[in-house]
Amino acid sequence: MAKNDLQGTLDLLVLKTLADSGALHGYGIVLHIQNASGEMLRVEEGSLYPALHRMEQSGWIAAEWAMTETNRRAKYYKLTAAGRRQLDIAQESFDQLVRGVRAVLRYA
Amino acid sequence: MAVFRRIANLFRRSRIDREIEAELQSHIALRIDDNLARGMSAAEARRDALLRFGNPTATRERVTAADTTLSLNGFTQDLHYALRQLRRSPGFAITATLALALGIGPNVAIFSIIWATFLAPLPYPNGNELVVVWNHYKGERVPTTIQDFAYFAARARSFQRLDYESRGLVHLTSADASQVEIAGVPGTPGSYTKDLGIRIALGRDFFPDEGSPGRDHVLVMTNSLWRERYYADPQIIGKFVSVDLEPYEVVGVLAPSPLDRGSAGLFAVPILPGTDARTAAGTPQHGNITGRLKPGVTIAQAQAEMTVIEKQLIKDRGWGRDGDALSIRVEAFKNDWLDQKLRRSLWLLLAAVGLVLLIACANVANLQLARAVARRQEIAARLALGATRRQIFTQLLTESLMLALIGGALGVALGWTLMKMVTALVPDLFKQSQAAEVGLNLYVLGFAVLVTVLAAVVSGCAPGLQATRVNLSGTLKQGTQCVGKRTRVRMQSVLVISEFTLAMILLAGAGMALHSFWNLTRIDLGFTADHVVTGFLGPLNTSRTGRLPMLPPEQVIAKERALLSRLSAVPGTSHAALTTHAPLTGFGEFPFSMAGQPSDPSHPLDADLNIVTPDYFKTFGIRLVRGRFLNEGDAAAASAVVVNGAFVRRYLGNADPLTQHLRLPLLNFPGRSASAPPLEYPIVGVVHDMAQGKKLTDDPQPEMWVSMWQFPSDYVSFAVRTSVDPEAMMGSIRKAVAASGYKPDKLRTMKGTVESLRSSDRFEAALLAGFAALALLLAAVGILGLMTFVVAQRTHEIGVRMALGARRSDVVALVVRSGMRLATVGTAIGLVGALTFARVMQSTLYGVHAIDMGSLSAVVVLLLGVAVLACWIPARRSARIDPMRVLREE
Repeated sequence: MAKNDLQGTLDLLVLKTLADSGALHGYGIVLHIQNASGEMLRVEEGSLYPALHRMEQSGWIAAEWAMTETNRRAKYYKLTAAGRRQLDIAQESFDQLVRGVRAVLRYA
Repeated sequence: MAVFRRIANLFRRSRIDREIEAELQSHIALRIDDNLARGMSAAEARRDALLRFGNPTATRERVTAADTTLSLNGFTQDLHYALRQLRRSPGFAITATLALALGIGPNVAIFSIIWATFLAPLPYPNGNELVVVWNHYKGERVPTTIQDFAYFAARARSFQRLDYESRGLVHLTSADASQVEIAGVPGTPGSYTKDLGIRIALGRDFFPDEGSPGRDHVLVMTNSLWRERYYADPQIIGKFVSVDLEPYEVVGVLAPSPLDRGSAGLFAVPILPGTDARTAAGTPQHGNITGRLKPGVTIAQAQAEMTVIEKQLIKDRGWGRDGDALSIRVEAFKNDWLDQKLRRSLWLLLAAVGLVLLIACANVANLQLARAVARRQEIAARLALGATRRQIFTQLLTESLMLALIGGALGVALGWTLMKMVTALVPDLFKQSQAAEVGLNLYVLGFAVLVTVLAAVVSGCAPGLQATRVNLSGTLKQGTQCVGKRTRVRMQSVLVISEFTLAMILLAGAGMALHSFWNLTRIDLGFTADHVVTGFLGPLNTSRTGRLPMLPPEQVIAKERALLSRLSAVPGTSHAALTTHAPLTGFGEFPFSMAGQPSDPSHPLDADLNIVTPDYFKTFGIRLVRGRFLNEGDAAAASAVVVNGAFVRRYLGNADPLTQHLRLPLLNFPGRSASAPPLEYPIVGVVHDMAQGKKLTDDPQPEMWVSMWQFPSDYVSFAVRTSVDPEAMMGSIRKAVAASGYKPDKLRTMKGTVESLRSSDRFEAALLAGFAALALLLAAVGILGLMTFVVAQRTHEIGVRMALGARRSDVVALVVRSGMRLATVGTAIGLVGALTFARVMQSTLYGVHAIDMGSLSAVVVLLLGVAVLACWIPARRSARIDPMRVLREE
């Protein structure tokens, strides 16, 4: 069975965000997820940063310091090749989860 | 790899913490910016940003954890699991770690010696500029005279400086000369401070002109000598100490340095190249040239320059034929001052311990393979529950690594003990490696870690791969028995065969080394080394570097007769003699011609000439073959010469030696002028060949002996035969020599001299034998383990056989036979390897053929004998199987 927990979902959201918008800093990722979900999903900073660093250590994303448009230093993350593979895996397992949950709901 | 990145992060904690802090701060700042843009007040914007962010400290800690420890989780899990597995099978864990420790320990020991000897960087500033200039004569390093050094020093331009260290050591002595205490090295002023770059802690260095006659009685001591013998006396400068019975003024104390270990000497006295070809000791100073290259000058450039200068030197000195065999070599100053033979031995031993390690790894791999069978169900279950094969493999490798780490730690401890034992076995062989100490240091530990990881991979990969190739449904359905045993046993058999191959190679090497050493101890020296003390007579009360006063011959004879009678009067002396050179000090070449035969100037005859007092033959216990020894009556000019067997064989053929006369161009005796024609000496005796060469294995050369009473020569060697323990007589002999007006120098027992000539052979033979024994033990354990495993696997089959009428002896034979098949194949392959190994070793061996049938057959018998024993133990157990129970269990 695939790994279907909330952490996995956050990873998926972050990976997908980075896949869509290239390099982003942590704050940008929070905003993007919020906007893209129509304000339905709000990512907790307290979960986001540990997740970002864990994914960086796993080699899924790479980080680099750069300036924002407002001239602040921020750490920008972008997807690596390994991250792209991971995105596929995470997407697949999320789809399974959704199908599984739906099936159960329908049955009940 | 992610794991390494995280481990690395552990060591960069503070930098990472700062980065995380900065990142979180930038997040809050960006939110504030947005809030402001949305029209909040500054205070409001900040408050909102912080609220939304939550507890920043908690977040920071969790981020840090993601970077380091938390993410090691997978790895630590593996480690925990590995530990638990090992604890569950302590027998396996102990056997495997012990095998690895036995394999790693010798590697650590030998590498630590090799490191200190060849590889260690020099502990001196700009050590890469330091060079040694060696003279090579017929391929061997030979010392250089101080005059040749002066010749080079005056001409060479590649060096910041060239320095010279004499091999003629001086000694701090007690007042009556009965004890030699501490050795010191004569060297050119500045060799320690300017060449090696050691600071002066107290006083001053030698002045550049110190070392000339009359200005050489000054001394600079190492820090350790100053602290230990003089209790760090701050007033020591200007005090006088007794060096070789003469007062020397202490002018300086060096700062702490590698010289404190005192492998060569603990103090320095100055020498300078004099104008004399001969100095106080009556022989030319011999020593080593060291130097510091100018910045930017390569060793090759310096070499080229020195070669040109040496060509010129050979021409200037008119050395001709002899000079052609000389070559000069500029070499990086390294710690490889050991003799060639010992250096070869060390590399050979490193290869040997490498083989031991391989055997140990094969053993551990085999143990793991056997265990993997027991664990098949566990592994199959894990695979079925969703573990990937890669995860299982990593897990198994982690277990190997764990075993290897424990084994490695034990191995380092074992290696340290072994290293101490090895250096104690042959202390004088390691005396000269003064720059680096043989010991455990970071490099040696690094090597140990490398070896350990290698061992883990070598011993863990095969079982890991094998274990992951599990047939899931089959394994889960069946029990532990009868599963794919054919392939598994094949792999284990290959490992046991290779263990025997490697053990055979090592045993053959050890057998040859022991055989060679045995030959060495049985060489007929031609003299009796027991109970003989030899030493040199040095001049007393003369400048060390000045010209020697020449006594008239009559006075020399009187002085030497007085010395001999004093030596004979020492209680415990049975004979005493003087000789120009003692046995085992090398052959000289002295020209002569046969009386009654025209001499051929293009083919001059030569033989080693010894000038001795008559008791020489009895002192050394030399055997007479024909005629008589020299005696006190041979004092008149040209009265007698004694020759040895080799002389007769080479020069006299079938003629009766006792009727022959030799023409010897000896001049130095009373009442003869230099221009007189050589006198003819009757051969009065023939003695047995004896070991005169510098090596025990040198072939005997023609030798001649004439009486010293005809040719008085001052400052020669003396020898005393004692009736009691010679070591106990050293002090009184020294005293007697000093009382006769000579400086006693380099006193040794003849037995000690012989022993030291065998020491590198003993070193090699003892260590190879030890490692081979270890290899034998490991191979025996290997085959024992495999056969135990096979018996366990075949319990059912054996039970059936016994039920069908097989006798116990049949069962034992069956098991032993199947084990011996492996041992025999391994031994046979090993024989081929042994022959190659033998070819590498042979040049260092004495009296051993490249195919040494004697030792080869001995080790084959030994190896197979041990194998039979190792197979017999599990075989006997198999014979105790109760067929009824086995059949009922099915």
